[in-house]
Amino acid sequence: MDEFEKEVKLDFLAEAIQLLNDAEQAFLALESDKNNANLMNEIFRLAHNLKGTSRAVGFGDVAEFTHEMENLILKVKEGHIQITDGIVSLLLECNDHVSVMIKMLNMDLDSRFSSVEIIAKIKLALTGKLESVVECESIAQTDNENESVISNSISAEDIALLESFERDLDAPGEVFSNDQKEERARSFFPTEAPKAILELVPEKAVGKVSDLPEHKKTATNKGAAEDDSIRVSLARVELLNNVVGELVIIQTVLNQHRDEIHNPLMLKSLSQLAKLSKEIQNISMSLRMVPLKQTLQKMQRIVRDTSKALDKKVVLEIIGEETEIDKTVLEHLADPLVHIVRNAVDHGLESTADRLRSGKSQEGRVSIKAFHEGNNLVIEISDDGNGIDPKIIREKAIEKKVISANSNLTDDELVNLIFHPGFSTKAEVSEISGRGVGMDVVKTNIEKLSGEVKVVTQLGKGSVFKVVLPLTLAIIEAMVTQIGEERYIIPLGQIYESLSPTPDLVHHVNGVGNCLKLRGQIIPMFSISSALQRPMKEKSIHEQIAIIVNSEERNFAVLVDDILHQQQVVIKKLGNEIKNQKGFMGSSILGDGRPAFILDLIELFSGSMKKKKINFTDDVAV
Amino acid sequence: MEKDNVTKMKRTNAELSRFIEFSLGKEDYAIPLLMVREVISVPDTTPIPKSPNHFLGIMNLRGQVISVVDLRKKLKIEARQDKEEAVIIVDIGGMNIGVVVDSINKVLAFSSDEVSEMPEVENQINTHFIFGIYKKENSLTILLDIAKVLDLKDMEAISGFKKAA
Repeated sequence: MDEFEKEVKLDFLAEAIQLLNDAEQAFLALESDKNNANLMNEIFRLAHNLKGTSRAVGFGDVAEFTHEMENLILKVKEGHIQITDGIVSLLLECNDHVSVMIKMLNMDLDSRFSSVEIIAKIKLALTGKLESVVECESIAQTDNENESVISNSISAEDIALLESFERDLDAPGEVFSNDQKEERARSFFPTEAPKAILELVPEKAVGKVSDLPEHKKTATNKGAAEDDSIRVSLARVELLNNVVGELVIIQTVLNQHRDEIHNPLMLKSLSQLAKLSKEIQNISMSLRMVPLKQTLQKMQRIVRDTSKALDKKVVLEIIGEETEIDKTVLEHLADPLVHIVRNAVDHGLESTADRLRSGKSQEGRVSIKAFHEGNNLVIEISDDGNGIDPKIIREKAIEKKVISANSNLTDDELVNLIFHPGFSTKAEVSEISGRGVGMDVVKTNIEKLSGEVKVVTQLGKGSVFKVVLPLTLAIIEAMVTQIGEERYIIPLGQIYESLSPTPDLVHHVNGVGNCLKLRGQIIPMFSISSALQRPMKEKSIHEQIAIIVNSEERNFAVLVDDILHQQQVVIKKLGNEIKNQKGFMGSSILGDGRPAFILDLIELFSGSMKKKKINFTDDVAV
Repeated sequence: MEKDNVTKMKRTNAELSRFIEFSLGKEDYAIPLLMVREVISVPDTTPIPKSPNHFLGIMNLRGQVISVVDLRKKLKIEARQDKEEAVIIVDIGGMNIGVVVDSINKVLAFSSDEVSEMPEVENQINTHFIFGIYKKENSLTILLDIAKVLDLKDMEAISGFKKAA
């Protein structure tokens, strides 16, 4: 394949992902507004586009399938086929199928596909035999979530047969026409084999979507059709950020020498320069920001599929989808969000019967609200379900030995135990959520992004999960500290408080060393100079500054010479030759143009903490 | 990898290989010119805690933070102390590192047959980072494989350090 052809194909793939996303939204909208002619026109346009371009760039398999899909849509559009939930499901399934094809093509431009099963389904729908489609659909739905459920109704033998059939279809180098494939399929399955099996094949392929790498999918942000945007590589944006950072530093240096300038024109230009460079910095930083829209819209689908499988009626409300966040944060945000939203539908909302019994509306309501709060992005996922009962959590926690039977926890603390590893409250493990690796994974993932997640719940009224994330990972708020002759940067997120360790606070504990006694709590105290193996200024402990670090295991104090100031720093990655150094998050360039290391105090002292822990519990706890 | 580059250079351009020659103490050394990004005067550096002795620190190269290594300390050569010091920014497979040398001499251009192998000496300490010697009229220039001098071994040393700490 020559370069040009490859480029054209890659362009198509990027465009197709956009089209598919749009289509999915349209299908979902269609479900709630079945008579909307505009929507139908839009869908038809998208399908037609996809068919045309895929054929033009030479993806025959995609074109062939989209042709069938277009046929179906045309029939629906012209009113020959009634729009029912079954039809919408089928359309979504078609959409997923195309997505899978596009993803596979993204990885290997020569991939080939079999669409025979799903085309068969479309044909069924076209001939009006929708009943059987819907029937299979309901089985297939569950399959999406958990294959084992199906294996109850279908023997293991059949599954094996199905797998070998799939393998056969996927066999490289073999290209069949549709008829041939159908024939093969027939020869593979004995006549008495459940017809549902045949329908399962595409669903299994759908299940693979989540296993595929997410690249490209998030790359396209907004419809190229609706706004003029260009795609720029993140590396280039980072380069620009670097250079702009330098510009701002030079500008600061100039500003520091203002007093030496007496020429009024120069002074005026200098302040203009300051204003401009600040603006340039803001713009260059905003280039990394993308709206949450795409990620939040995916939740529509999650809620739809989850609620269908659980037979609950759920309305999803999304507020603030235009809120922007750093692209790197966004990429890691999708998974935790999916988890929380699924949980809200599965665990949060009661069954329809229960809702009616407690006098609530039949439809459950899940809302996702995103907004900026200071330098943070807040996403609130709330449901109007039954809330989390601290009593049940307590029982579960004791049963699972997460807490001891006599431990005294407040309701709030109990509720937050759901983030504890290996804690799942739902009595029976369902396919949707609750495999025991639930909320703790969400919590760890969000904490990896330097964010936090909290839950507020009201029994009978519902729960709110609040996810707070920094707007960008490229800039952090930090303290610049003096250690000996050098300066080190400590992220503000790690600092709980700082104080001067006066003699009445410092106590010596045998086997542990100096400790701080603070509000009745005893906190081990470490000197940063031994951890870094760098000298500190020669002065007594009491003249130093103690930084209290909030660590998961136990708070500890770190002694530094001085805290110089607080500022925002741009994080720069460390080079390969030193990136393995423990305790360093990166580096940054300070106001005078000199680089300084950003410390990760928790990592830096994790070894010391472990060493001291044994001594500590021995000596202090009693 | 860099050695491959040099052999390739020898093959494709048998006429001339270009090297930048610099001094460490009283001796002359050279590295391939193609690996040199730029040459600057010794910048302000920030020391790297817990790093081997020859790591001078990190510096700010127009917004990029890179490590600076003192090649004299690394090769255990006594510095000349005549304030002529310079830093060569080398590009080793996309990774930029500053290398402090006593002085930059000139750019050498020679054909590959003027390069001789490192002589076999008994009790030879490690010479794997030298890939040849260029003979001039009355002196020698040692051709260094800078990646081998600095790169992998140091990175291992640091992760070793990490484990020890």
